[in-house]
Amino acid sequence: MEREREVALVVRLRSGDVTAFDYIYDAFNHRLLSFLTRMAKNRSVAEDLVEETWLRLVSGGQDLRADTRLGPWLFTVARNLYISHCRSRAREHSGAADLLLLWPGALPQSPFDLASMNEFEERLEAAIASLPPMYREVLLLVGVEQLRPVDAARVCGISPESLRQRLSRARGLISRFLASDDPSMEAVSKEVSHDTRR
Amino acid sequence: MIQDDERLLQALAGLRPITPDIEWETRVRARCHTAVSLRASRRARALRNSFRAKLVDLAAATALCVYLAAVIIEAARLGGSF
Repeated sequence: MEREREVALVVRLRSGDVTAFDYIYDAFNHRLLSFLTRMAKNRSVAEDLVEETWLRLVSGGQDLRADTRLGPWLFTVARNLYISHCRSRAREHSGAADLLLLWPGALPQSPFDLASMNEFEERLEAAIASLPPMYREVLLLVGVEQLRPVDAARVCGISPESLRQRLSRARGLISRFLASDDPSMEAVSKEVSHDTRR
Repeated sequence: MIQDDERLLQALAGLRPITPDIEWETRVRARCHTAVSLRASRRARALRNSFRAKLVDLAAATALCVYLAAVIIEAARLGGSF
């Protein structure tokens, strides 16, 4: 989104302009849902968190500064809500087996479509889902959602240098997952668990 | 197998977006519209109230000034008569 347009949208949203909200909603709703679904690995949880993110925007819209960057702001709120959710539920699902349940609206419907679904994409999704959250979030924000690294660092509350390190580690782990011939990817999973304990 | 970062980043950027359920999307949008409209009407009401309050303040200040002026004039008149 162009910067000037973004500033204008924030100003209009602050004054209660519903069409400005619609524009922002159309630009970010898919992205927020994709990010949170891949983080939470649960579509209904992601939908609840996305809804709450939007309600935070509209309820606190008048307090937004005119120079607020909407993308980082929305992803920061979404991420914080996800962390609060994890804390309150005190659990983090792992394993990629339930990943296919995440796309009821987007999954190919026919057997032919299912057969032609990109096998590589499936493996990539499974690899992302297997990453620990600290690596998964930076990979999703920078790699999938295309946030600038400096904005992604702000969203995650870490320094750009830490983000660079996490990103590099995440890419390495993903590449190893994808290169692994072992379908269970057990060896890499163990390494990931060991890595997060360090 | 992916051997370089560039290819991996391209693959990540090309991942299938997760499509929201239309019913859910419409419901959330409507809920947010209500919140935005409510906030806008509250803000407009607050502005109107603030304008009214300013008008009342101005009227009270004018009345006080008129009253004080009358008191001073009366005091001067009484003082001049002695």
